[in-house]
Amino acid sequence: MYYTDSDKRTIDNCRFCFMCRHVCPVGMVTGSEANNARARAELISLVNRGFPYTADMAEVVYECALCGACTTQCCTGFDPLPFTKHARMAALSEGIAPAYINELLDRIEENGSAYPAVDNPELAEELASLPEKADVLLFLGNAAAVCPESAVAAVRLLKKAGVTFAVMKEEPDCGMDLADLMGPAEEARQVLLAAAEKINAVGTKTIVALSPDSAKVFLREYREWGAPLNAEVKTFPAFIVELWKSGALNFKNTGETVTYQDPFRLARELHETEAPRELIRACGNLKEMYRHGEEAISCGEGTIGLYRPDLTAKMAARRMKDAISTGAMTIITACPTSCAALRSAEGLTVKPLEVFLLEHTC
Amino acid sequence: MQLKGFMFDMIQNELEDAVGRENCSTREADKLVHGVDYYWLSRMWADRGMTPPEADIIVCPKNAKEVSSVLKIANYYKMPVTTWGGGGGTQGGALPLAGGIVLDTKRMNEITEFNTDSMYMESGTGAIHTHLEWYANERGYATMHYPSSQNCSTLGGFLAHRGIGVVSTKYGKIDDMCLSMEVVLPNGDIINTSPVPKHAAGPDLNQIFIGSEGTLGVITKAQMRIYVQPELRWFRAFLFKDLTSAFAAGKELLTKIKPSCMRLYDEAETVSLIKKIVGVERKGAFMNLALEGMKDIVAVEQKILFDTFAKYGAEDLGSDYGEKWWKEKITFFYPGHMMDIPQMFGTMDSVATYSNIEKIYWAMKEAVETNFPMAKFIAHFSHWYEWGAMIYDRFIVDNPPQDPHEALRLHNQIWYTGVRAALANGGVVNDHHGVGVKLGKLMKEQYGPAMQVMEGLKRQLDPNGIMNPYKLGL
Ligand SMILES: Cc1cc2nc3c(=O)[nH]c(=O)nc-3n(C[C@H](O)[C@H](O)[C@H](O)COP(=O)(O)OP(=O)(O)OC[C@H]3O[C@@H](n4cnc5c(N)ncnc54)[C@H](O)[C@@H]3O)c2cc1C
Ligand code: SF4
Ligand code: SF4
Repeated sequence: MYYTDSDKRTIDNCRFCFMCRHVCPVGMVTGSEANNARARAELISLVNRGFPYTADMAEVVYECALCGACTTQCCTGFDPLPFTKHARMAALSEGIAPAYINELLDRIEENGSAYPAVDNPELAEELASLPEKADVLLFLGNAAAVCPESAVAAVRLLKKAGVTFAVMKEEPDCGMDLADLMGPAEEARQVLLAAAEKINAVGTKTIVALSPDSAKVFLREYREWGAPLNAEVKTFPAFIVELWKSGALNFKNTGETVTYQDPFRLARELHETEAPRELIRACGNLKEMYRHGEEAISCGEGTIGLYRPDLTAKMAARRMKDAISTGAMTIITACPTSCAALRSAEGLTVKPLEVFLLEHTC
Repeated sequence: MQLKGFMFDMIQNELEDAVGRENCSTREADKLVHGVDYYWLSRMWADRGMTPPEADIIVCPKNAKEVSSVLKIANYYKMPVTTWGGGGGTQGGALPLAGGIVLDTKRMNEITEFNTDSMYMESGTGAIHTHLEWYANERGYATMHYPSSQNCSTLGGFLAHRGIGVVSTKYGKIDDMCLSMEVVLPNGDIINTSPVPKHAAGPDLNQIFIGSEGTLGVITKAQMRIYVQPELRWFRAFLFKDLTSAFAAGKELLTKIKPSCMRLYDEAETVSLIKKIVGVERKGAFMNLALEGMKDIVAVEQKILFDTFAKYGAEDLGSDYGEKWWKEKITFFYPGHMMDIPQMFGTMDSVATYSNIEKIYWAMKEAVETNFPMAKFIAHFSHWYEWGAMIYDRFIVDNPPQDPHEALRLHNQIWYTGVRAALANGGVVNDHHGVGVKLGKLMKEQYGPAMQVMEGLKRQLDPNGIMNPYKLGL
C-alpha cells in the first residue's frame, strides 16, 4: 500500500493508542471498535506486515467522516487523516473499495458533481440579475443543491449590503468530495486543476465560499496539489463580519435563543469559530452546545453523508440531543450538509446561518 | 467441538436476531481490531506480523436484555464469550483467546439518570469514562475518577479491573464509588446487586462482580457517585532525603488529613523530575500532592501539611510543578511521551501495608535488576491509604528480542519474577490493572486455598465455563 514516511510514523504511533476514540463521532454512534483512528492504523500496519488488504478493511477506511476530531485532540500532534486518505487511494487502485463508493464516483464522473442538478426557481431569479464578472465571486458550492434557501439568503444578504458580485453560470464542482473519496489521486487532482482554470477565468479578486467544504478545498488542496486560485478566498461568515463591521450590513438583536453547530471544516480545518458566533450574537442569544468550537462533535456533515447516509442520520440524531439540551428552539448551521443532516433528525428547527442573518437585517 | 456445514450460520442468525444484524459482525477487520488490546504481548504479536487472537463473531448489544439473549445462546452452544469494553486493559483481559463471541459493550453507553439529590449518576457500562466526566462537568459536578485511560476505557472496564484514578487518596477507587449494578449472569439472568452498598443484608454483591473481569457475567449498568467540584485544588511539591522519610511523613499526614492526590517517586524518577523543576540533578524522593475542597478547609490543611512535612526535613518546591502536571497528566500517556514498541515494558503495580511497601520496592527492584540486567526499573507510589500505599513500578527493556516467542518468554519471566517478589513480601498480584491472562497463573500463588472461593463462584455461576476463558486464573 502506498504511504509516506509521515504516514508510517503516524500509523506506528496510532496503531496501539486508544486515546482519541472518545471524540470520534462515528465510534460514538456505532459503538464499533473499528471506528477510531487506532483501529484503522492497526489494520493498515497489519497490511504493511503482509496481511491482505481486504474489502472489509477498505469499508472501515471509508467509515471515517474525516472530521479531524482525533487530530485536534491528539496531544502529540499526530494526524490520522492523511494515511486514511492514502488508504482510500489504495483501496480504489486495488479494486476493493466498497461498491457504494464506486457508484458515487461514477455518478460524479457522469454529472460532474455528487449532487443533483439545481432546479430552484427562487434561486434562479436571484441569480438572473447578477453580472458575469466582478471583483467578488460568490461560490455557491453544494449549497445550491443541498440547501438552496441558504444560497438564496446569501445572495440577498450580499445584495442588501450593496456588494457587486458575480456567481458563475456554470459553476464547477469544487472537488472536495472527490478529494475525500479518492485522496490525492491524479484523477482528483485533474478535476481540481480544471475547476481552478474555470474559476480563475472569471478574473475575480475575492472568492467568497458559501460552503465550508469549498472554502476548505480551495484553501488547502488547491494549493497543496498545484492548482492555485488567483484570488483571495474567504469564508462566507468571515466576509459578512467584514461587511457588518464596515457598516454595510446591520442586524437587530431579537433576543431569540439559538444554538450553533460548528461545521468541522470551518471550525477545525479553517479554525474559524468566532465569525459565525459574532454574527449570531448580534442577532440573538447564543447558548453553546456540549463540545463546541474546535471540539464540536460532527453531526455527520460532509462527504460521508453521500455514501453512508445511515451513519450521518445516527450522528445527526446524537448531535440533535446535544442541541435540545441547550434549551434553545433553533439550531443554526453554517454548512449546507450540516443543515441537511440535522434536518433528518427530530428536534429543533434547523436554520442556515444566512437565513437567520437575513431575517435579522435592518 | 467443531461446527459443521451451516451450523455457524445458524448461530450467527440467532445472534443477529438477538442484537440486530447491523450489530453483529464477522468482518475480518472487526476481528483484527478486537485482537489487539493495550496488553504489551498483543501489541508485540501484531508488530511482529503475527495473527492476533480472533473471535468468530462480534456482537454489540444495546442493553441487558440483549446481553441476556446473547449469553443464553452462547451457553446453549457452549461458545466462549469475551466481554470487550475499550480494549484499554493492560492484562489481555479482553482478548478472545478461545475464539467464540466478543461482546463489545460500547453501545450500552446511555446515561439514564443524573441524581443530584443522592449524588450519583447511572449509566450503561459501555460509556467511555471521559464522556461521563464531561456529562457531570456540564452540570457542575465531577466523577473524581481520573485514570490516565479515561479517554479510552469504559466504565465497565474500570469496574471489571477495579481501576483507580489520580485523586483516589481522597475519593477512593472505582469500587468505592459504585452504589449499585445491573449484571447479566452467564445463564442470561439479569440481576441487580442491591439498591445501596452499605448494608448488612449479607455480603456486598457489588464486590463479587467488581474485579471479576468478565468471568462471572457482564456488568451492564452501574450507579456511580458524583461529587461537587472543589472550590480549590491546590498543589505542592516536596523533596525528601529518601523514600523512608517520605513514607514516614506521608503516613503521618494521612492520620490527620486526606490529600486528593499524592505521588511519591523513587530516586531514579526523582532525579529526572527534579532536573526539570530546579534545573539541576538532585537525589532524594520527590513528592507531589494536592489538597482540595472548600477554601477555608484547605487553608487549615495546608498548615497541617507544612507542619508535618517540616518534621521530616521536606524541602518545599512550590506549586508550579503540580499545576503543570495536572494539566498534562494525560498527555504523558500519548505516543511520543509514553513507552511503546519497540521497547518492552510493564507496570507491575502492587499494594501493601506501610510495614511492607518499602520492602516490596527494594525486593522487586533487586529481583528485576539482578535477574534481567537489560531492564530498567523505576517506581512511584501514587495511591495512599491510612494503612498502606500502592507501588506503581515499571520495567523497561529497550531492545527486546525480535522473535515473538522469545520476546513473550522474556516478558513473562520478568513479570513472574517481579510479581513473585511482591507476593513474597506481603504484596498482591496487582493493584488496579487487574489480572487478565497475563497474571492468571499467579492468582493461586497469592490466594492459595482461598482461591476455591472464586473457583466455587465460577463453577456455580458459569458451569459451562463460557465467560472469558483463561482469565483471572479461573
Ligand atoms: C494509556 C493507558 C493508561 C492507563 N491508566 C490507568 C489508570 O490510571 N488507572 C487504571 O485503573 N487503569 C489504567 N489503565 C488500564 C485500563 O484503562 C483499565 O484496565 C480499564 O479498566 C480497562 O477498561 P476497558 O474498558 O478498556 O476494558 P477492556 O480492556 O475492554 O477489558 C478489560 C477487562 O474487563 C472486562 N470487561 C470490560 N467491560 C466489562 C463489563 N461491562 N462487564 C464485565 N466485564 C467487563 C473484559 O472482559 C476484560 O477482562 C490504563 C490503560 C491505558 C491504555
Ligand atoms: S491521533 Fe493521536 S490520540 Fe489518536 S490514535 Fe493517533 S496518536 Fe493516538
Ligand atoms: S477523523 Fe473523525 S470520524 Fe475519522 S477517526 Fe478521526 S474522529 Fe473519527
